[in-house]
Amino acid sequence: MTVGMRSRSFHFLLRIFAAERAGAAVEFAVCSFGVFAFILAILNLGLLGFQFGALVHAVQQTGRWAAVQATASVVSSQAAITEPCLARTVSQFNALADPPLVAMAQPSGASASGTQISGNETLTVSWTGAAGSANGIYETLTGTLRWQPVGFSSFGQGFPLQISTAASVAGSTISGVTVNASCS
Amino acid sequence: MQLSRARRGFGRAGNVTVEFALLAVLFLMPLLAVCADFICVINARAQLNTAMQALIYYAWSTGSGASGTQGNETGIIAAINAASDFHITYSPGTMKYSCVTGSAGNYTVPAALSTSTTCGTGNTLFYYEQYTLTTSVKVPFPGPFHFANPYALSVTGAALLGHAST
Repeated sequence: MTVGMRSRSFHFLLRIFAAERAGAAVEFAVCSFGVFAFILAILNLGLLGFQFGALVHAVQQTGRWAAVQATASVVSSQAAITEPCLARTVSQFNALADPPLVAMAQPSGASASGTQISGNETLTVSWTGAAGSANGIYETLTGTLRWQPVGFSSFGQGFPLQISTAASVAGSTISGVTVNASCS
Repeated sequence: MQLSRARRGFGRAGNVTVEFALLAVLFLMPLLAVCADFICVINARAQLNTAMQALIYYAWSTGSGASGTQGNETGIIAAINAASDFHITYSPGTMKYSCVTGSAGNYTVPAALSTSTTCGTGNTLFYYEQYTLTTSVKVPFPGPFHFANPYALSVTGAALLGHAST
């Protein structure tokens, strides 16, 4: 390669680097990662609001549903409270939280209290209190969603969102009301 | 001094990238941080509203306060606090009243609640129990322009318990 050829090659490369026509495209390619990540983050915030709203609604309504189920048994038998099974409570939660949340698997067994974990969701149901006491019988229900933003799967463990409620069984503050041992 | 074309080109290349980097650090990242703070505050607000609903449901289902004696709402809040990440503070419920015109099935909506139990002729005394719940939330990215840290939240609600016989 002669000195003249090297000089021409150098000037050719210099013209390419100095060209301004493709500069915007290159810079957009560099910046687009950040821009699209930001747009995705905004979309994720909307998704979060959607899922969190569903979680709050499902926890509130499931708690009330369970308390009314137990109350209905008081009305029908006049003297006994039957707490709904955890499986039925989870089923009700699934119906109310669908579609934004993933349906939880149905637990087995005949327990009214317990914890069900499904993916990023956790539902904890606890029946406490005593008939005739000041608070009567009530159900504490806690729904937890470890929210993971879409497209940022490696972004830590996600945001933990949690809602708890306590639903009282009407009539359970009356002395003499009995509680059935098994759920139905 | 006039720069050559090649030098001008090199000087401009990367300007947008640098500007975007500045924009991201000074504007976009703080915006996302504030969004994270908002998520925490919205979560706390939802928990507070849920606790208020639980209290009102308790008042309805147990008849708390209907006769002027208050129930054990503290136990309900304690149960929620035991299961929640937030600590909710409960102010004991106060009995409130309103004088309502109309008759059964056609009562008007009360304009305001008061502590007076005296009503004029043709009015019916309605009983309420009013609750106030407060909590505070620590925001992950506190800054001078949005939420104080910790950020205090409160909610007030009244449960209609019944009315005097007409």
